[in-house]
Amino acid sequence: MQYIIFLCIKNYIHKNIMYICPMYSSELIKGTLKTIVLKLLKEQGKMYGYEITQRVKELTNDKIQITEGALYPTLHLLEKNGEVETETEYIGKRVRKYYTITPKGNITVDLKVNEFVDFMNTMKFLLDVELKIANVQNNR
Amino acid sequence: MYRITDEQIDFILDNIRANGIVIEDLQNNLLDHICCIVENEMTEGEDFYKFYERIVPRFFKKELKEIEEETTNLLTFKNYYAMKNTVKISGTISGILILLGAIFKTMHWPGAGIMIVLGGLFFSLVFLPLMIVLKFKDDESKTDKWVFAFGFLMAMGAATGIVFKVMHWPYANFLMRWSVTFFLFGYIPLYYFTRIRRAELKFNTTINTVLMMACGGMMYALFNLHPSTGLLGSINASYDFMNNNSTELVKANTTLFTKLSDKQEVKEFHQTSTQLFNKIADIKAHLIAKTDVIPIEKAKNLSLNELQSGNDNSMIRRIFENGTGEYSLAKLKSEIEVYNNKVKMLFPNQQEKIIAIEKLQLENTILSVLLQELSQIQLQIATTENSYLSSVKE
Repeated sequence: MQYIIFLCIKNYIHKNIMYICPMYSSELIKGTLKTIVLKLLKEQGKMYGYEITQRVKELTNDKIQITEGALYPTLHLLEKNGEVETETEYIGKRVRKYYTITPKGNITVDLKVNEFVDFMNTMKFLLDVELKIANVQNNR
Repeated sequence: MYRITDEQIDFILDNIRANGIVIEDLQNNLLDHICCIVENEMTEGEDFYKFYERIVPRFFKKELKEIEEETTNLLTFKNYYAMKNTVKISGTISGILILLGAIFKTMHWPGAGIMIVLGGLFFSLVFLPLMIVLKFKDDESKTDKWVFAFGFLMAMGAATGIVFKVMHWPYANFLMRWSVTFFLFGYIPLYYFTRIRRAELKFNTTINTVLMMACGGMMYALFNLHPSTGLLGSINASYDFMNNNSTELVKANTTLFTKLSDKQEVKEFHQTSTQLFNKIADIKAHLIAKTDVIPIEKAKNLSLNELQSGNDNSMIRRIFENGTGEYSLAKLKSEIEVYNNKVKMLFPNQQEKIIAIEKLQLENTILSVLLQELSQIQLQIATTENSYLSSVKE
């Protein structure tokens, strides 16, 4: 009886995680923010801060929401490293800063994407993800 | 779409500034971002200020300043890594250069000097200063930082001193002696007493202290190395031998000269020779008298082993090397020049009779060495005059 209750709870949690799709934790996003921003700039050309957050939100169905508190420090760092360039545009009283990727940034983004793919494969193996799916299938 | 007004923009900017955002770029970025949110997400008829209050917390966990702190952290952290890399690279380069330089020096291969100098300077002027900076950036206790910085500073002094010593540059002894003294009696006790009470560091502290004491102490022992007594004895003997020979030759020359004194050119050369010979004798006596602080008469016939401060160089630097008076190097050089011209006329085919002043160690040296060199010139003068007088027919 207890076992059945346990299974029910487990199933419920599992469903929630799989289908409700909450936003990922900020720790998880932090490590990949540079990659996301650079990749986006590479594909989309020149963009400004707000645009980047909205675009990411759109592309991921709200699953990844970049916080402003993390985005701007990263943009400043990328600018200092020479991986992005900026141009400013006056909109009435305010200044808008557009970011574009530089050749150096293009090199970085390829490295970063490759690194991440490799990381994902390693994590899959390390966390036994495929094995678990196989287990579930066996149970059925 | 809602259009934001100029007053609202001013309000946002003032608010951002008041909340501790200092970097202008960041101010502009945040301002534009907030304006975008207002324009895109605010519903018609909603109060701007209430909306602003509601959306600003999106930017931080506790306060807006975090975003500025995060930015500066990221930017300085990057420097930190660059510095760590420079430390690694400069450390490796200096290590390799010093090692290679030492091997080359022992084997007498060319390029040893430049390697040791570059390696040593890299070590003391790039590696160690960066270590100090890094130490200050690490979040250790304040006393530890200062103690280590002091130690590294003394190590810098000692390393520079050793490079200077190897290259025979001035102030090497000063640098080495004082750095090692402060290292031994300042840094090591500080290091020991600030760390020994911490249980987790006790073992390492004891070992490091003993190692540093041993190395520093041995360095100390190396400072005042004199040549062996055997070598010194031989040098003294050769000095006396040279002087005795010159005296004998001068006596013989005087006898020879009396027979030939009626010849004008013989008279002239004898005069020049005697003048220069006596001049050098005067310089020697004067330098000895000044350095050892004894009367001139006593200084005249002093042999090297009776000399008190043979290693001194301050007096000869002042009077001889950099002086302009009677006993200066400049004066001596001009008189040797005159003498050499005479010798060239008398012995047109005998280059070796000319006094080769550039081959002698007359500068950057100590008293005992200078005296040797001067005696050598005297002996040469006496010998040359002797062979001239012997060759002249009555």
